[in-house]
Amino acid sequence: MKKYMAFSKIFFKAQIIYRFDVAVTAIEALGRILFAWLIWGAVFAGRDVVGGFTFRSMLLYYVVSSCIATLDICFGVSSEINHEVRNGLYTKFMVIPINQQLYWLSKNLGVVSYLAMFVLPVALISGWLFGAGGYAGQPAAAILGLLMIPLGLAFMVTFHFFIGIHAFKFHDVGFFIYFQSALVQFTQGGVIPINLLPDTVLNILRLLPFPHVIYTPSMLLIGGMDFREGLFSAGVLIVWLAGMSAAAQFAYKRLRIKYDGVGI
Amino acid sequence: MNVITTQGLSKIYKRFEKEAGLKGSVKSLFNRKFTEKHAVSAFDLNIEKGEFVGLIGPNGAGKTTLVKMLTGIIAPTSGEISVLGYYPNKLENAFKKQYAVVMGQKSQLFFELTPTDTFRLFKELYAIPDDLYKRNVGYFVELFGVSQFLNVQVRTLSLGERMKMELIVALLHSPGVLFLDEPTIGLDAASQRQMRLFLKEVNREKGTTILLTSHYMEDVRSLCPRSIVIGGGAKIYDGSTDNLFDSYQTRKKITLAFDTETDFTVPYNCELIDKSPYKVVFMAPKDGDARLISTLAQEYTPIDISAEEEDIGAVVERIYAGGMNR
Repeated sequence: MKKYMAFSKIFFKAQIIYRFDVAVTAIEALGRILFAWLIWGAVFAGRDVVGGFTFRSMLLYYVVSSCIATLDICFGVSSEINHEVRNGLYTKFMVIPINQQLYWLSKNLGVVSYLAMFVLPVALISGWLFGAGGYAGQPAAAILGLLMIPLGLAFMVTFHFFIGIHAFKFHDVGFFIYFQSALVQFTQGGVIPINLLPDTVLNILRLLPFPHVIYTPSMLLIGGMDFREGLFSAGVLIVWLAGMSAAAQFAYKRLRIKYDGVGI
Repeated sequence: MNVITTQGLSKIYKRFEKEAGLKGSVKSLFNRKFTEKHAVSAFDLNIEKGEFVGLIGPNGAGKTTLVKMLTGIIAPTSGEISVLGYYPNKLENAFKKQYAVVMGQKSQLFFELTPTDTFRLFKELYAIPDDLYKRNVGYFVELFGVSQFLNVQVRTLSLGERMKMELIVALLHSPGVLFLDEPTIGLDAASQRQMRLFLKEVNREKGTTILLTSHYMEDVRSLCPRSIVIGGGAKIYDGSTDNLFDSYQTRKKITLAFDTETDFTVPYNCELIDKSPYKVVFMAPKDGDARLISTLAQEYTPIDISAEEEDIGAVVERIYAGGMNR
């Protein structure tokens, strides 16, 4: 495990090299609160409740979910693998003694740790600003919500690793990346809170992992979901994570053998 | 003891082919045609521990494919292969810990960070004990003379400095076998010379088996006692580098300079390269060049005569073009 921590550390270090980038990340994180205020202020104009959310709870949901979404940088995993495989550069990872999947997980952990330095304070400030009147949910649900964030992010990295390594066979997985990003964004509640959707759709979505990456932890954290429901979601996520890990390992072993890297 | 063994090793690639133009592109959507390319054919190879071997061949000869099979990056189509006792394409970590690859155009360094940051990462990757890490870093930093660059951003290093750092990264874990793919590509003459000195030293001092692929014949000639020439995926020469060059470097370049206008007649069996009233350059057979020079000196009384080894590029072209038949 030590070598993967070393990867996390080196990618964390790489993030804090440029002071301007660090400053922009900090400003962007704080700007999130202002942006939420403006957007949802317009949506709620003249209304007290939208889809079961009050203005303050919607703001809180938006800020918390967008903070988690910021940490979800897994999109880069499939794109990067796709690029490296297409250009024959992936070989540099194949010749060093690492587990490929753990490498991408640890790389993401390094970058996410950096981003967390900014989004965590923003989430806490938002809780204090918009959660006036005290936390209405169960403390156990909030803890579960916190635990589900790394689980969800790990699933997304594994899922994108799985997509990316298909470049060994298909040479370009750009279409898969595009298709899944639209689907995932919708099902994660990154566009709208998914409890605004019809019940039938909601029941299907509950069995998919994507809503449990951003939506479920956000709802648990803002007190909008009870512990039992959260536990079911965590179970779904764990099953998907285990399944996706096994599928990714299996696919990597099979697909890398098909890799020829002709002309490179 | 052999550290690399292959027997009847072959690699066949499937390549997609289509007719030119829009019609050809549309047609290929429905009726895809593939052709087979034999990148490496029935290749037998034995390399002993501590050897420094040069792998020479023109573009598309199969050099890189062979190195990719030896490092496990790609799987052979048929034949037997063993590197350090392992089947490379299994890509076992225990195997990967015993070799290193330096590919001129694929960097293992983190460009935003310092070389020391990458060294530390590789220390963990290869579980290098503290004392060995310190000893190796100290040894290579001194050998390569790069102590002043250890704490600067890799991005700001020159290509030569970066290549030295790449080599240190590759050698930190004391690999048994080092694969070098065009390590001097893009380097200026001075850096190339320096790099050759370092590699020679590493091979001698550490006993590292090195397989070098290079287009620069000077790399191979000055570093590798043994050369393998590969063409069309097949081995066309495997033996002493000196013998290889002796066999193919059959001519010398003779230059004569005069202080007065001279009407020079090119001797029999020689090829004129350049001629002016005051200077003449021609290629002469290597055998008997001393006798020829002495005759010319008496006949033309030049102010200067020089005889140089034939340009290595021309020799290489002849090797590639003629195979072993010359």
